[in-house]
Amino acid sequence: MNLEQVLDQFKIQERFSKNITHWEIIPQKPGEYEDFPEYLSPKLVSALKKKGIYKLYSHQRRALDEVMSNHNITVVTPTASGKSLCYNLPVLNALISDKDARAIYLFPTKALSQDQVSELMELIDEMDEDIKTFTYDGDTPVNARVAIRKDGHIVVTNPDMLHTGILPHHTKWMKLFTNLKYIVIDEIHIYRGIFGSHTANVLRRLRRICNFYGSDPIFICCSATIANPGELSQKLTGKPAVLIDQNGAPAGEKNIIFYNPPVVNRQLGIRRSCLLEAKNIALNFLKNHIQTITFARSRLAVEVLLTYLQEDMKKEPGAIDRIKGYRGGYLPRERREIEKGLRDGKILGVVSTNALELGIDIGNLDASIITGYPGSIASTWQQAGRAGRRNSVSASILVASSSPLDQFIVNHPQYFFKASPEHGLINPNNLYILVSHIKCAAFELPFSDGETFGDERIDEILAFLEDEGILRHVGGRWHWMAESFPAEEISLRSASTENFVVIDITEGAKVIGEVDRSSAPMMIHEEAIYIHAGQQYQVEKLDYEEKKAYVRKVDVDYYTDANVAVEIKVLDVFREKTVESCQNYLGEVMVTSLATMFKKVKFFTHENLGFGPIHLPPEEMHTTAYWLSIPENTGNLSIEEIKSGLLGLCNVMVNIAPLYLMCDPKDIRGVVQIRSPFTQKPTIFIYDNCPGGVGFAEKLYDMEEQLLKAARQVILECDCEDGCPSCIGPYEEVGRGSKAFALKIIKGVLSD
Amino acid sequence: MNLSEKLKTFLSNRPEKSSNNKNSRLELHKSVSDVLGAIAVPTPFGEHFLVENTYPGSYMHGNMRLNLICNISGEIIKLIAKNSEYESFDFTRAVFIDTETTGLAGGSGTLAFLIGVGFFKGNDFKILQYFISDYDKEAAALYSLGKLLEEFESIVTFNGKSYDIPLLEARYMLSRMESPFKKNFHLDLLAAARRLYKERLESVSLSSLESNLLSLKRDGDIPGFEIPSVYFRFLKDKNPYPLKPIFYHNQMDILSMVTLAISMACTFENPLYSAACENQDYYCLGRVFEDMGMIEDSIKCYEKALYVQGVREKSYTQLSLLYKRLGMWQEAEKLWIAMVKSNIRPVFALVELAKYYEHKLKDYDRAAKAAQEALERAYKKNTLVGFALKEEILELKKRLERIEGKQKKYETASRKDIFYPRQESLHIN
Repeated sequence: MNLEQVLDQFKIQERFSKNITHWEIIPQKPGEYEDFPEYLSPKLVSALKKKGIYKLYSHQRRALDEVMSNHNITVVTPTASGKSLCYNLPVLNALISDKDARAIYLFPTKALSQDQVSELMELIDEMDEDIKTFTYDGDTPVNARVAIRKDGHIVVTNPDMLHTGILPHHTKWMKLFTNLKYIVIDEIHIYRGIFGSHTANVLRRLRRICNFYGSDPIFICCSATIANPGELSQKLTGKPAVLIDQNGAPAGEKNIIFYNPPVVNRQLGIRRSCLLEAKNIALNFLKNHIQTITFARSRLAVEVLLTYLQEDMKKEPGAIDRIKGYRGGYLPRERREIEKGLRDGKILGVVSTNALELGIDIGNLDASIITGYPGSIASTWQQAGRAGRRNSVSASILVASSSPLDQFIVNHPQYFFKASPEHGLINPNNLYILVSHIKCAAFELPFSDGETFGDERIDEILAFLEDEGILRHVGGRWHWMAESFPAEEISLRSASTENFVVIDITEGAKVIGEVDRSSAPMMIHEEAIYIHAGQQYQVEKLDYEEKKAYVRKVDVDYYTDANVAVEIKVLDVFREKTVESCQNYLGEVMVTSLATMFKKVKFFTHENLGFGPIHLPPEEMHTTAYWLSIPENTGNLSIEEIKSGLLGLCNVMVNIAPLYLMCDPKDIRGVVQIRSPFTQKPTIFIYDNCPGGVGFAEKLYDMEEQLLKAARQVILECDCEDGCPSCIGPYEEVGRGSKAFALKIIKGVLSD
Repeated sequence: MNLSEKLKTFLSNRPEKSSNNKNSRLELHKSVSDVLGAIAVPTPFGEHFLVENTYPGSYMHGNMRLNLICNISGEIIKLIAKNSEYESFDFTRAVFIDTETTGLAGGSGTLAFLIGVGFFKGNDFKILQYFISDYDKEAAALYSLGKLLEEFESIVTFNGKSYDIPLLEARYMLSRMESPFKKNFHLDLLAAARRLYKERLESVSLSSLESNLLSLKRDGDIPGFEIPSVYFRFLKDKNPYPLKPIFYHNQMDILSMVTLAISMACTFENPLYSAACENQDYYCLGRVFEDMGMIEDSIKCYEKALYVQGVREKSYTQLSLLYKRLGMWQEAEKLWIAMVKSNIRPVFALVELAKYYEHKLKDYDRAAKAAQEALERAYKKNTLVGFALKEEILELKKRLERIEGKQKKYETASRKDIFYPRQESLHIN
């Protein structure tokens, strides 16, 4: 059977068709082509022709034209639409005519940069031009670094290396910064939240250094589909950019199918494992020799799925070697082989984490299966985009898990297809992040009086840092006055540098992971069961002072769940408004969380097997919060009923908010106060779960009643009787009747 | 208190900034010049402080007279630098540079607040110390230093190639001034000292060299790691007294560079009978001579080093390979046999012997014997160490096979001709 026939089978066979909640067909689209522009170097044109490229896609041509007119651009195109030519063409074209010019390419991950470098090298080799491209990252040998600084025309690196390895030593890179013409930032949608806020500041520093050496580079950014690519790139680079989002690449017909595994326990809201369902669907494709990629959410799930598939494909001769796993932790050579096998068709099936979601070149496959909603619309499109031939049918199937977010998506396909995708939110002016980078910037070059950072006035912060003894203000300039090397103390991937390391002492001592400070009391208190890569560990000792948790491998039938008492105090109100009959606020809060005790909960039955105390100091955090208060008499409910209803409502809101925020579910938290000391009313607080906040609360505040409406829809459409993990949470947690009370509350405050 | 609270508290009771009035500036001048003996030097970029000290050429630092350095010939300097271009290097036209900085991490946020330079003028050795009493005085000091450096054709430093000079170059760049370091020669004494003394001394830091080679003990010195914090404190309280040891430290470093160069020169002039040279140093000397093509001296040094614990193995290996390269096969063979007997890298020696017998002498019997012995030794070592000799063993097997092949062919051939084996046979164990 070919793919179309297999898809027809899906429609006919009831065991599949009854679980399909949506079948979207995106019709075939012809390509829009443009000729090579006249200004394009003949060498480049002939190199492209050698690679079989005789015309450009319209978006590639547009990118070239805009960069030629010295405009910053942000290109938004789906997977495999020839995106890298959008930056390689203008950069190479400039380098051919000016051998002194320089460019920096920034990629969020190392694997990605390797892939892009090899593509770039091929093009350069075809041209036989002396254009040197080097990767500069932690793996670059010391003796190669000198040559890179002096002779590298294109320096490929990542924000972390720019932050610690390049900017603090900018005088060694004089040649690069003096002649820097282009900065290419690929996959900018990855630069959101904390990482994005840090990177925006690293780029502010970069622009400051360029300014010192008299260069003013053009930014070429590429993004996957998000709601606000232009805004994100402007916030990131500090410069407005021309948005290029009309994709000119052709595409075959594409089927996107939402599949919800059948319910096996209605009361608890438990569905059949999405892993097993995904396996069955994948087998259907693989047995028909349809090239398929299956995405799973964890490394462990990849391995499990791979084992299942290989087991079931045993009978097919040679099939086992044609089905591979792909994830972080595989050796680079192994990965390159798999990528190549996928491109030339030797490999039929691959099971991967989101490692293959980013722009690594594996060609185009026939089918992709997404096991569990990847957490954002953008990721889902990227994973779905792995299937898609230029001129034949392709299919992507999203197999939902039982989590609220998954259930919301498969039951509301219109959200996925119609509503705007997530926003990439960053807050470069998060005080903690900003101050960290002002230190780094002062180390790199003294600030002058009145100088801004990005567009921020920073006199007060500079004076504060002087008071702290870190800067010295003399002669109208602010000089770094400490022995330390500030960039080394600041990690771009977290807000505070204080992480706890988890050390496995089963055999010897091996660091297996990190837990951020605020989660430590819940996840790695003594006796906690810490699960890492599917393996259970018990915490034997938590050295709070040294920030180390010592764990040992165990195999037990329970997990632990810490009870955390969260106090929230309003410090400052930034904005306030009335929406329907709720009062909405945005402001600064102090969150104090104290882990008091933990429960041992048995797997599957969720029986309580015992308790234990936790003795750890409270954690305090200043952050930004959105909160809404409702009238006390809403829905004529008793205090107890309001409490239960608010708890359920808060759970739903926190669970579905990531859909709009493009954040990880753990990036925000919710708290309920029945009679808030601040509002004197029943109140739900939702706050950014990182010091200072990165803008999630603000976005929620701006959403007005949209979030409440979405919450209502989730609750109404859930099949459970009285609450389940897919909507308001298990009734053991929120109390009996919560589902009904939550609905009453919403009804009471919304007028429609 | 967390950051935003701290910031708020700070802003709400922000201290009135004490203005730098003229009086306090005058006082600073007075105290710095009194305590440190500094003068204020005017430049187009403002003023900076300068401390000047003059030592007569006959001044003894450690066990050496400073002006001995002027007698060092180009031939010797070449060896110190391990670079024949340095033959025309002239210490009297060179400047010794050492900096004190605000941190060891490097990067553009590190300031060299004290730059000491030493040079010969007439019969004297002068040390000028450019002191940057605050960040805004840096440009002035760099300007004066640049002017001074115009007069010299070379620089001498201790670890300056990777530390002091790149740091100063960065400072010039940050002040948008031309770097004055584009010189003909930069003699880095650390590299030279490392070449000579790394086998004997645990550390080749300047203080280790001072106590081990130059019979020097400093009095009233400050440990290097304390220097940045002392300077930062001075920036705040302007009390110059705690700076005194830093100025002393800087001067000592410069004087010791002179003495160190003299000491190394003595070693090279008379390698076998110099007071500054002993034991393991002979091996190091041998290496330098060898690299510089001074084979006779090199052999002499290696021969002496053959008896020194710690460098025996290296010396045997190096010398035997040198002989091999020179085609002095008998000498080489002797060493290899001695190595096998005394169990010094026997497998290496046996392989070399096997190669020699096979390719040079075409004596396949002895070659086979040596290769066989090497293989046995490697096996033995493998069981003792228990790892990772597999490749070596595989290679030895291949060699043995090849030799045995040649052996057979030769035997068939030699049935016709009577063959007299060489008289002296190899005695191994």
